[in-house]
Amino acid sequence: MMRQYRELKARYPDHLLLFRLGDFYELFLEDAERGARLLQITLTSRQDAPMAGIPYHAAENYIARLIRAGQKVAICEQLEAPGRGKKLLRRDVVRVITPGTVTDTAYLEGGANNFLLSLVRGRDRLGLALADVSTGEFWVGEAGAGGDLLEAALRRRPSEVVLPSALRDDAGLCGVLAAHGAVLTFCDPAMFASRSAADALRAHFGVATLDAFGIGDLDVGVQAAAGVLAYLRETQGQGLGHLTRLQQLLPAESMTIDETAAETLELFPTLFSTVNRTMTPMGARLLRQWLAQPLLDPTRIRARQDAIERLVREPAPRERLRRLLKGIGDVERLTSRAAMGAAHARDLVGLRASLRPLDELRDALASLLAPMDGGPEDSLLHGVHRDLGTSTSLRALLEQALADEPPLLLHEGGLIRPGWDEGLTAVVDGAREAREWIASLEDRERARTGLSTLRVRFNRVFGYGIEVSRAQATRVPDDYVRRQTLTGAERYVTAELKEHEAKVLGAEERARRLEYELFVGVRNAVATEAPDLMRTARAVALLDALAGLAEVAHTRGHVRPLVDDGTALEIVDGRHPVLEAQAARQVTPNDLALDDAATVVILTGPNMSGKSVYLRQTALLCLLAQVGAFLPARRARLGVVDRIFTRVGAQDSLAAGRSTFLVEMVETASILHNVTPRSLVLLDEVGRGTSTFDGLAIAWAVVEALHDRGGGAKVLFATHYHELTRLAERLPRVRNFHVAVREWNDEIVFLHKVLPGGADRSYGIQVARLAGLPRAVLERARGLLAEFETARAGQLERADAAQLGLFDPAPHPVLEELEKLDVSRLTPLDALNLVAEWQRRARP
Amino acid sequence: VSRIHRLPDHLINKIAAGEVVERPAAAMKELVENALDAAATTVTVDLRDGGASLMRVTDDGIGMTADEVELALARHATSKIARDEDLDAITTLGFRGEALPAICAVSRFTIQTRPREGGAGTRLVGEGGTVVQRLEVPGVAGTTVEIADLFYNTPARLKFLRTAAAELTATLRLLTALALAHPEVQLRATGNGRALLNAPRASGLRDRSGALLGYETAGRLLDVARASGSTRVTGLVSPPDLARGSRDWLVLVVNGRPVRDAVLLQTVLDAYRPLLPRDRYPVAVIAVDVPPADVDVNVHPTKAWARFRNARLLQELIFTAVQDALRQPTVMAVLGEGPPASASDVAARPAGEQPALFAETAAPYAATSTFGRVLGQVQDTFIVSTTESEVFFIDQHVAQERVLFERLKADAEAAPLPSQELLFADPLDVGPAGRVALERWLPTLARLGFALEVVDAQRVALRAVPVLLRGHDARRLLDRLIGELQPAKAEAVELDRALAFVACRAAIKANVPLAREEMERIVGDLGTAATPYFCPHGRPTVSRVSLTDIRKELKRTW
Repeated sequence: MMRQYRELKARYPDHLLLFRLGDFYELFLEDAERGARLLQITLTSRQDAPMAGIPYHAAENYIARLIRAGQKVAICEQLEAPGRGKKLLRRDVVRVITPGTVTDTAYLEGGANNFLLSLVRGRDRLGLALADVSTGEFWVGEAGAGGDLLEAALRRRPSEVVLPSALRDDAGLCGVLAAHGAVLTFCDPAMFASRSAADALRAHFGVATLDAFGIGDLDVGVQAAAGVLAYLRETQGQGLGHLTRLQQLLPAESMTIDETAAETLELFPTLFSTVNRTMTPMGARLLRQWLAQPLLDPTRIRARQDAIERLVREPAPRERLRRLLKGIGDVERLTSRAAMGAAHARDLVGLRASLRPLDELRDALASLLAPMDGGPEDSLLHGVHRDLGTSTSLRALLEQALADEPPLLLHEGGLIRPGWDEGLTAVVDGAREAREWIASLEDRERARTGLSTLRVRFNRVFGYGIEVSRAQATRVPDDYVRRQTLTGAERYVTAELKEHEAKVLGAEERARRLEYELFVGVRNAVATEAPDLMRTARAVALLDALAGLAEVAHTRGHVRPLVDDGTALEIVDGRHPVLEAQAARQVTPNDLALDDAATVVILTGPNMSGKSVYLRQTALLCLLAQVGAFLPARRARLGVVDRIFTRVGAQDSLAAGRSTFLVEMVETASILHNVTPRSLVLLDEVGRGTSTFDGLAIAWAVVEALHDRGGGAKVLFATHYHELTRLAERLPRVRNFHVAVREWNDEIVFLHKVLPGGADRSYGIQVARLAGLPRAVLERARGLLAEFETARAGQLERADAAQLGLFDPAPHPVLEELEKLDVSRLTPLDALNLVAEWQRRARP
Repeated sequence: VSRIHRLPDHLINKIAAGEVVERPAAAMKELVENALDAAATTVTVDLRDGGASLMRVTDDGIGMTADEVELALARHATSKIARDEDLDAITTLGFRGEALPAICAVSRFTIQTRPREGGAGTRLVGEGGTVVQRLEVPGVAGTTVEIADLFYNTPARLKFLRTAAAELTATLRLLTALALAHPEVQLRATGNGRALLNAPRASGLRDRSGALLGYETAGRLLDVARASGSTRVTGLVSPPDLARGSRDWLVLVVNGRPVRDAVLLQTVLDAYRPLLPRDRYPVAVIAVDVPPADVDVNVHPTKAWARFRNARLLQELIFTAVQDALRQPTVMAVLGEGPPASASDVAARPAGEQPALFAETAAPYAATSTFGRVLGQVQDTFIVSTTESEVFFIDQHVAQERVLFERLKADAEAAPLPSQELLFADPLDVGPAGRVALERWLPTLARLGFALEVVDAQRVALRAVPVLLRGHDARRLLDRLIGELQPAKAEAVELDRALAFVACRAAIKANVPLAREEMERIVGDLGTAATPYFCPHGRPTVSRVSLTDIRKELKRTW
């Protein structure tokens, strides 16, 4: 048996091989050790080999945990029933589950995609393909040297990356991938072979040329896509009919939000959960994609706005639509499972229930299609209306063929609605007749034989039998054949009884088999309709996402922003979308007005006054506007932003061995290298991680660079260095703003209102007082502050006078002495004393 | 030293607070009304502990300048009226200049405001009516009033505060009414950080009701509209099957102000008779627009009541408006899932066919026009009958009352009912009030077949009774009649009430054994009645049990 195990394991070296032994799946050797650790199950041993087992009936749960832990799992089943002998059973791997190819909804989060990424390195380009096999989405693209597209793909957090084994040595690439936490799977390079790749894709999609998808010239991309297909076939079998279209992955289609920005802005889950009012898993996934990839094309943004506006203005139909949407399940994933032959009966029942509201949904939508106020009809909603709906025959089939509440298991019967299939009905009826015949046998035989103790009994081992007490056993008729002797009774069969018994048992077995076959037929019918179902699912997702955003806009009183190609960034009475949604929270509306002539904001104000909120709010509003959503503001006009950069807060990344300051500088450097004229840059307290003057100097230089070389990028720079407010005098496009506070009897009153002009001071001591610093410490600090302020003013004057003085501070007195010293006249002892003296004075 | 002296201002305010803000919900109402008077488009209310520990009302209205806000805190200072004549034609929700100083006198308060047209904002912080902090601040156009620890300095009042939950209920009822009165304003409320109510800006009363009640329900409400001169009654009322168990959704709005007017609300209920059982109330939002001079809202400091110059006309308008609405064919209850009949369906109806006004109460039953086969009588009071799918228990008295009522009504509308002369028409003492009441109803009663003669100030002679009531004791009949008809109502109802009275007297009583034929006749008649399910007084006639339920309960699965 262990030889059999080793053979199988050799075929799946990277997978945890779950080896079926009776009622358990066993893990052996290293697999056992890894599995025991991950699942916290007991590690035992069998013939000195480490072994760990999970019971088969609870396997799903354990497998789910392994997948979530990033493991790949191969499931090996016994392929024949255990016989009497000690013969080794035939076993083989029947299913491979990997993090990127899971389809069972039990393992997946409903509102998020689960992507598989494939990478192929070409001469000067990187081929990429991204697929969610559970939803049928499939993208392909090629990244140039910059790797923007790779970053875009990685932002979708693929859970598994497939690469040709040759890339195993590409330390740079593997490092990047590993940093994103994806599981790497190295495959046979033949799967990505350039010659057969295009053929494989053409064959799969049934098209004569890949130009149909606009990807004809993506050589390495096509290789990557073929790699995805081959890998899916290998792990999931042939049923991939739901992968019906291949879209080109383009970085230019959406706003770039790097990992740092996404985290700083708390897009997921905070913003997402704030604006997510979708009713279906498809809708939630689509909205998530929208937030991760805000649009750049004002026309497409306006199309979404049009549809949302329509839904905002007509709350009654909207409510009806959303109520109907609520009844629709995950059509995308259920269809995918059917297409892959993995759907069980409950999946199809779920699909059936999801298709029921579609007609009414179409009707409800129809009332929203008529043009409003003489405007053009809404293109998105029209599209949804067109795409909704599936073949009535499929729906009839699901309604009629499947039982109301079928069991989870496919081989135990109960799948098919009684009476639907004549063949099945005949078999079931036959079995029932035979069973009835047996049931009435007792009466008949008693009457025939006159034996009062005669009983018809059933026993698992011997089947049906006629039992007669020992006392009456002598009087049984001749056609009774004795089978078994019990205490006090004898058991007989007759030829007729055996015949009927065979009918009963055979029919049950046949019925189960027949039910399974019929079920597979239904499942295949669903698979055939997969393209239609997927189209419908996408229409549902679109409608759901739009209606959800409309619900948010309407209930919170948001307005439609004007989004265009201009350079203006104008927000009147804007509120922070997340804070605003928190009930009972008072949010102070704030304005912002930037354009070609004013691109950089220096925002000053004390800690806790709301500088960071203002920064983040601005970015979130831009992002939401480009998603197509309405904004919490009185009025807004925004030119599209192609990238949001953030350098906010001071998170030490100690694990990576980098100091706060280093992290800060690395991020700032990246911004300076990558900023575009349409970027929005948020800088919060840059330079805080080092000494005051270093920090101030760096901050100053960064603002200058962004102003001079940013090409018009919008920059919001929050700082408590009021010295930076002087930049506005020197640089034409810099504007000062501050967050207003007021003092009352030495107490600070936060007003959270952003106003033009710089802050006069930072109120640090008042804030410290709010935090409960002891009175004595506060008094001392107040004294020191007065001293420092006088001293610093003088220094600044000098720095200012020297124009670049900030970068070249006055020489230290020790240096001056050193310069004047005549070394030739020193004794070694004098020198040593002087060094000691200087050292004392140089210490801060 | 005189023993009588003028009270200091803060004490006056404290006393005023006793009437104006008797509870947190009332304070909240005053603040929201101020916001609405300030032309706000968004009003947000945040409460902690039902408003007792904190209430904050934020609006984006016209705001106040620093001088104005100081004045607003002074008693009897207002921007809303200026001259005597203004008091006769109030167009704002507030006008007394009393609420804000009163509320601030009994709380710790913060007011932050800035005029909409620009200029500096002001922030005042104070307690017990005294300002302790005054700041010029930037800030947002509009006004925010934050009231903490209401009644902290009036321990007597504090002691009588109801639970936070009770306050919250009262607050919500007031807010709902205000929201319905002003659909164009976004109104949001939270309590202890949880959303209580969110009414987005709506294009009209129907959408506003939808936000509060659900759009599906709102879609089924019936339009009410009627005008006479410059007095207009508009609004939405529910078909009877959407009735509720409480009066919470009976809202009367007079010139934008929710008003509690028992008489007018009763008029709405009367218009529903006999469509609703006694303890069910419709959803009804009735907006009354009258010239400001025709209504006096200066009745009580809380301004929750109003007096009308022409109350009678208003009653008539409301009554007929609601009845008209209920006569629309869309009233018919929705059976199953289909949408209510649309306007085009109505147009398709043959002109002569009277819309079946009474069919709608048949909600659960409309499919069966009959109560099936009579099985027998239980407790000499209930007739039991069955159809294929249901078993019915029919109250014999109530059922016959309904049948008689409808028959009498049809007859009485055509000609006076046949009457029976009485042999002995002794003058009976009914008291002056009884005499007045009977006298007023003489014509109505004559149509029913009563012949009454007023003998003197408190005596009346009964000369004839409806044939149906012959044999009843004249004395008792008169007493009951007076009791039944005492509260005066509009004409149509009066006739209905009198008819109901006659029908009730004439109908078979409970505890009377019936012959099979009698039972069959009652059941048959009831089956053809227009409104078979309630007696004219609103009592249900029938209880039913579904056989499916019985099968289920008895595990009869085939």
